[in-house]
Amino acid sequence: MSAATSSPTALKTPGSDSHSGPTLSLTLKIWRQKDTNSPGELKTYEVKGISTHMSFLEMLDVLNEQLVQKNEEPVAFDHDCREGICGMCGVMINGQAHGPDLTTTTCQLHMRKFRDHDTIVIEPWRAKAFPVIKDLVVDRSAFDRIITTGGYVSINVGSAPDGNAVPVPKENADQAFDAATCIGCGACVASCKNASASLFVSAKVSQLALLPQGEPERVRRVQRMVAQMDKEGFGGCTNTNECEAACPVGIKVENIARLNREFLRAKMITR
Amino acid sequence: MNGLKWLWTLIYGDSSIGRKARIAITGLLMCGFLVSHLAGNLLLFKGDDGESYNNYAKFLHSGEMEAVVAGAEVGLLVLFGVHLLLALVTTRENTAARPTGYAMKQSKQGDSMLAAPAYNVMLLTGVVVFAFLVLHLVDFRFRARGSSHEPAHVVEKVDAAHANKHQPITRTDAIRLLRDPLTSGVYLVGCLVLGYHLVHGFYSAFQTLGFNHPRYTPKLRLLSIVFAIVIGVGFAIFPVWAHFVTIPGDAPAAPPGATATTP
Amino acid sequence: MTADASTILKSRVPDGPLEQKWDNCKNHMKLVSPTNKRNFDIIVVGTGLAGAAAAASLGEMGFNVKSFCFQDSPRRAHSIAAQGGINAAKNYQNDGDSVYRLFYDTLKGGDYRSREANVYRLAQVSANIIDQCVAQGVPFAREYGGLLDNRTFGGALVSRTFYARGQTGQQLLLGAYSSLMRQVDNGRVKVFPRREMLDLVVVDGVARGIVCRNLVTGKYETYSAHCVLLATGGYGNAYYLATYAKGSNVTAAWRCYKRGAFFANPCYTQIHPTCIPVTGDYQSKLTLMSESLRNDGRVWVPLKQGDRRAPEQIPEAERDYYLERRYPTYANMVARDVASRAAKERCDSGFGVGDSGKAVYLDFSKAIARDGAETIRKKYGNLFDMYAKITAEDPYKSPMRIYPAIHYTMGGLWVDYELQSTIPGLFVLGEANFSDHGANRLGASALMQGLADGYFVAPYTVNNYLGAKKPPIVGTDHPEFLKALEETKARVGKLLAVKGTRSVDSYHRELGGILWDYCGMARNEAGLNAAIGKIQALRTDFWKNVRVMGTPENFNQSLEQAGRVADFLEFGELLALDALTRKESCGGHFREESQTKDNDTLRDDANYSHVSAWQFTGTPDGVQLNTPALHKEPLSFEVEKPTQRSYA
Repeated sequence: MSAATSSPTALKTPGSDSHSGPTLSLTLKIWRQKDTNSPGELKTYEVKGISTHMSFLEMLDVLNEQLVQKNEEPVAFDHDCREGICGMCGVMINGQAHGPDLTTTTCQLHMRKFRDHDTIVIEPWRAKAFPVIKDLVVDRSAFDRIITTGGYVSINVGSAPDGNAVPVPKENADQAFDAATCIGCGACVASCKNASASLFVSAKVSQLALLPQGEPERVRRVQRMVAQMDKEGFGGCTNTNECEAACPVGIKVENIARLNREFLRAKMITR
Repeated sequence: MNGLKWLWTLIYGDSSIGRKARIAITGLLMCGFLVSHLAGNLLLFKGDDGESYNNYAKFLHSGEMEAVVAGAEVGLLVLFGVHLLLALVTTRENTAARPTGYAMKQSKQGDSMLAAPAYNVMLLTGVVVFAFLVLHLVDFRFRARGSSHEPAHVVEKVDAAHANKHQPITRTDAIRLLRDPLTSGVYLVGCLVLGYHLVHGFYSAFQTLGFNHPRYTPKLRLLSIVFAIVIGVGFAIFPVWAHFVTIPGDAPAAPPGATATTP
Repeated sequence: MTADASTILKSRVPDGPLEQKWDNCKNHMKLVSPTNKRNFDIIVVGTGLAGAAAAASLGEMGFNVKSFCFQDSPRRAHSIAAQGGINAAKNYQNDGDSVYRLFYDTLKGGDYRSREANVYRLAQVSANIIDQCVAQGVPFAREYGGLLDNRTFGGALVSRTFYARGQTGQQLLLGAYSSLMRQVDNGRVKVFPRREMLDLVVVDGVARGIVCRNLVTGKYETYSAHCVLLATGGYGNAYYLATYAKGSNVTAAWRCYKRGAFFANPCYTQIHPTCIPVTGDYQSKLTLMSESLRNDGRVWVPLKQGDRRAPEQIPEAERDYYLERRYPTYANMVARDVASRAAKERCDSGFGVGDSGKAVYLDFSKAIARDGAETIRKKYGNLFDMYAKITAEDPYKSPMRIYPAIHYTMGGLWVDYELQSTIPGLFVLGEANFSDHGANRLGASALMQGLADGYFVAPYTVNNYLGAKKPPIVGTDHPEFLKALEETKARVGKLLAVKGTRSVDSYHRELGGILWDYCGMARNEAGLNAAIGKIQALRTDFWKNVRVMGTPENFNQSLEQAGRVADFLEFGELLALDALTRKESCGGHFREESQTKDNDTLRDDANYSHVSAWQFTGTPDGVQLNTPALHKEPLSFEVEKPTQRSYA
């Protein structure tokens, strides 16, 4: 039986169990912060009757229903597609970006990964470049600004040649695709001990460095993007590879080596 | 001051990646030095009562090599200086990138990472190596430290050598110095910490300079560990070995198992 | 109250033969001179494929563009979740594809309820989309020779679908996003993320700006422009459980409707047959798996009602492969809506499987036995992994459980050939408009339409509008802006003032339940009437008992959600009303009263070959109390005459 069923009947809340299977009682320690400039703190909440089939965010939904019920403000957290592709969700779960599963976003993490009576610490991404907006919500616009400085091919609509005009070796296209799958969630920054955005930047630089379409702006792109990355206040890369482990779509640190290569090459040939 | 701005830019660079590349290049060059240093040390093992080693030392101090060695010393000093300075700068930048820490933080990397903890203590191991290096230079380069535990005549001899710093150190001098238990312990630790620094440093330098290939990088990571062991253990052998080898001036009542070194 | 209305609804389809209409249209457009473009401001709401592409293209042309999205970055828009691919009449595979074939397939797929000229134009520009995306660095799948690869999709007889593994939508959206950010760099576009459009400002009958709420500060902001482009996606979240993003909503479109834009064909919703079923009441959304699974999977339920045995323990003889039984020719490959309805029918009759009884099996054991697990893994590995991640079951060992879910809406704001709504200066793009898919959308066509509208249609027609109308500058201090702002504040204030006991989410779930039950895969008159009554009652209850936490001047997700649900509660009624009014079956709209003997949709071309466009007749800040006015745009088919489809 869930905690929700003890609520007044007016509040129809999740968890009234049309499903079977074990349920969990959990202690949640969640970072609450009113706004960017207010101090925050970890607050403790109890949830009961959490189905192991729930996703992590659905568990937070249940908590929020309970909080509304008690006239408390619900926990703010970012999310949108809830199928692991939009990159909007992402919190630190027991000190791990997106929780314990590899190549899994927070929305795709399921409660079956947890045990009854577990305590779960939930914190926002922490980085100087990602200020907290509220509770678990952070401002990742630094990523957009980095893309703005070069994460594109300068091609106007109407001037594109035929799609098959320039063949691209399949291997390159595949590698470019692998890099291009970055969802921009920020887990790399969150998990890095230096809060470095190297993996994010390298994914875009790699994608475009591997394709002939990216060639004309190759030198300018990498220099501008790295300069913006530094300006935003991200740390540098110490090659701990923690970002690769935390990345929900499996972007490889191989891309960071390519970023370094592209950058050093650009520096050497720039007049 | 403005006139030297170019020099500062050359050292400091204008980007995080540039700084890391400088750390990597200086690190790798120093690795090259470590290899040659270790090779030189291996002459100590040659069973010729230190003749080869002493000749090697003498050669390095000879007139025609003086300029080369002096140049190398300055070069090494610059490498080390830049390496350490940039390490401090980037560490400060990296710390500043996360002003508020996590209440809880865990790695998502499994046990497969052989070098796992090494990268977390690079600055610490680097500083320890720095301290050790200062001691080592005081002992071997400047010969500014004697040993009170040595027999009187030996102390005399060391003092005599001390009087002339330009005299190359001999195998006997070196062993005698390393026999001091405290010195021996410090050298042992210093060498092993250096090795540990290299477990991550050697591989990391390649990654920083843009080398990563799915076929070679796993081998490189293994090589990095092997290299770190060779260098770390390789140097660490000497302060241990010094206790088991006999040198001129050793008390005649040598342990029964010791090899006779006097004819 | 039905107005005959071709007088009001001017489709503005250009003259001339079908294949020359778009060129004729473009050739006679008014242009804005290059030096003058910077003097025009354009608002684009939404940053999905259509919105991002339009904002970027208009920026490239030299206009001043303001781009809005409610997410934290333009890159999050839900176009990103499209898996399969994008159609284009390139004929790279030399299998006889052509613009005409793509046009024909799309028109037929839409069950002859779309505007012929629009569909033809869509097919025409499809090839340019691929060129544009390749040039942007979109890493499409390629063959070893380095040329673009294609796959077949959705029953078409040619291979015309371009794809980037199972993440085509993501790659196309990131391509459009990159073009958008380039224009930000160039200073032509300014992006306003975390802004929710809450009203349209109409001055002298012309769309001139928007009111939005800054979701971070909670402050209201008004923006004026020379025209407004709406690219805010579909309204499938009215059903609560859908494959849409949680934030997807009808609010922006609904506000425009209340300001005078007609809403067309809201009852055209598409149900996708292969989604991961609901596991419990807490379920927040549904996840779609590519339809391609049906190529190798066999759909079945137990022969016996309420059979709770594990699927492996049910012998072959006690299984009902109902699609193969009913539709021997197409079997498991019948159209989406047919497969969906059949699954619902089986489950409603008590044959459903799983804890909820709302699922059917999709079994790969035969394919695995035939081709080996490795072959199946190569084809569907990522889908199998996704299924395993969500359900913790291994689809290589036991059959998947699937159930249909809402995943696209063909209806939307009514637009003419130039994508302009009934409010001059308000253009509607992508899924938010009703234009190109008729009553049913073909696979891999959503991405095509979004990008066609954004890159190749709207930029021209907006240019034409600005060149011809030269609307004067209006500032946000205009009385209409102030009035809209006050009305918005009052509406939001009303939500917070209720201070009831019931959560916003519970209302949304209940609304979704009503729509799903009565206005989902199969609809009938009694049910739709019941639904309308239930929705009205629920809406009344909402305004009495809803509890919204927090304050308006703050980051407040409860308040965001409340506003969206309030609009869904009004919109849901229109959806049901439209479904009630359209007494025929067509495409995704299945009226039980109108079906063939094979349970397929039976169109009534004599009476319903028209677009139903609804006009709001209440006051913008109030709820519709009387019936909205229905206007009909007749559909004529000059080139392709409608035929009845059959999958039997």
